[in-house]
Amino acid sequence: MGKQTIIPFGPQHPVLPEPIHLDLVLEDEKVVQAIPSVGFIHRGLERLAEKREFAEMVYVGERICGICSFIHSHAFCHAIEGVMKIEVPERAQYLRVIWGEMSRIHSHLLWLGLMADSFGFENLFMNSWRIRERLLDLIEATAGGRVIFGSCKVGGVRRDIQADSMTDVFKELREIEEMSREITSVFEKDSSVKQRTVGVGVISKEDAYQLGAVGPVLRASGNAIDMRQLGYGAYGNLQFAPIVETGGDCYARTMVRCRETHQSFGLIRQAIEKITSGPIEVKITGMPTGEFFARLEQPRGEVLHYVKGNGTKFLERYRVRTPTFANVPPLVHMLAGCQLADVPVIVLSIDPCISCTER
Amino acid sequence: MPYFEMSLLAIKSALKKAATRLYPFVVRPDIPKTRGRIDMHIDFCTFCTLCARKCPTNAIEIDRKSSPRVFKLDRFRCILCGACVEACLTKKSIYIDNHYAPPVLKREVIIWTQATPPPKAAAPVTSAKPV
Repeated sequence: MGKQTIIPFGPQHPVLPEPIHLDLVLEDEKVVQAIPSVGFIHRGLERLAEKREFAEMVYVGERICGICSFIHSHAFCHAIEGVMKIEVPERAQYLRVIWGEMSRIHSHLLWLGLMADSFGFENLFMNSWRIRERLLDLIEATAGGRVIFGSCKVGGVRRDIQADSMTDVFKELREIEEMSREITSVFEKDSSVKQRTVGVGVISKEDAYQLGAVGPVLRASGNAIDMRQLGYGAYGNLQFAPIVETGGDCYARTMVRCRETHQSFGLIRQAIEKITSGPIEVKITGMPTGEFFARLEQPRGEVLHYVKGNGTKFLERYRVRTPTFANVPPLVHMLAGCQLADVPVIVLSIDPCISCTER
Repeated sequence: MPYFEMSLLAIKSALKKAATRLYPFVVRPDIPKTRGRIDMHIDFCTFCTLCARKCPTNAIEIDRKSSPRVFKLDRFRCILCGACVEACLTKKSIYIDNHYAPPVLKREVIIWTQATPPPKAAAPVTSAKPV
């Protein structure tokens, strides 16, 4: 056994502007153990819920994260609707699916770019973000904001997508899909991508399940678990199956995200075909009493929003468990035994969003 | 061909025209739904203060007692959620414009004023005066 040294990694990540700190215990170039610490940007959002009206809290809930903003607001609204037993109109459910899948595609394209950047593939990074820009414009044209959609509210959605702009969305998505297929085929086949990702950061099917991994990390190890199968929103009416890979390494996680991007385009198309006309919101009356767990699938994995109401307009308790928090123990497991040079790639492969985790 | 996937993509994108614009010489076309900034038609405002109460960041401050009546908006606080627009009683005084707020040199509050209506007069109408 050689001499052990400790290298501090973060809170400034070489690629990702997310403040996670890891103490890497090294033997020569090999990582023996990784000790994570978070808590650099705690904002106290959950305490804020006790001072804001539940309907206003959507604005705060949406701003937990800049990438999965829409799904956070969807999860919060879903939880409140669960407590108050509100039936959301069908059109609103489909619109939520469309925006949710758009945010999934934009998150995955962002992540693919960052992944390419983490192993120094600048050209691929620029190309991924070029496509993402088109999608952001599409999101702005339908929801009004590029990052914060601001379109989800308790009891439905705020904005509608008119029938003629729906055909534009359809057309634009076709083009974006073709462009994104070019990118994903590079990730799939290029030898320099494979050299940095295949066999790096392996986690077995059992370990991933036991350590509580969620989302693409879990599915890349062969567990077919996807929260969208619960059928929340309009997902119950759409045809899809969870994307599963068996490798359990960084390459498998990349492939899961590439294939999920394609799947999301399909889901949006299905939703546009099946969407019905009708109201987009219902009026809410009364105050939330009781508790509810909302489990939704974010681009990064399963998110939990727990809401407890006490019959007043202020919530008694609001708790969020974000996917990155669940993915930290698997990350520590993956890092043990890897090379120091692979650490940025492995950390990025779980798609960490520390701002979500600390709220 | 594992070695030429990226080369193909690179050559393709090199032959296409640039994906970026030479801002500020080339400006992006407007998108109608963009939430750019909050703006006011002060003549229609009844100073009911509903928007100020609904604002989650307290960006709106209204003084209805002073003469003339004052409506203040702090764009640095505004998060463009649109709660004020939904709350507006008249439905036409406060609205979201699809242009982003222009850059400013120092932090200041936008002020609109409206003359105080006489006690039992009909319609209060004066000119808008953003400062």
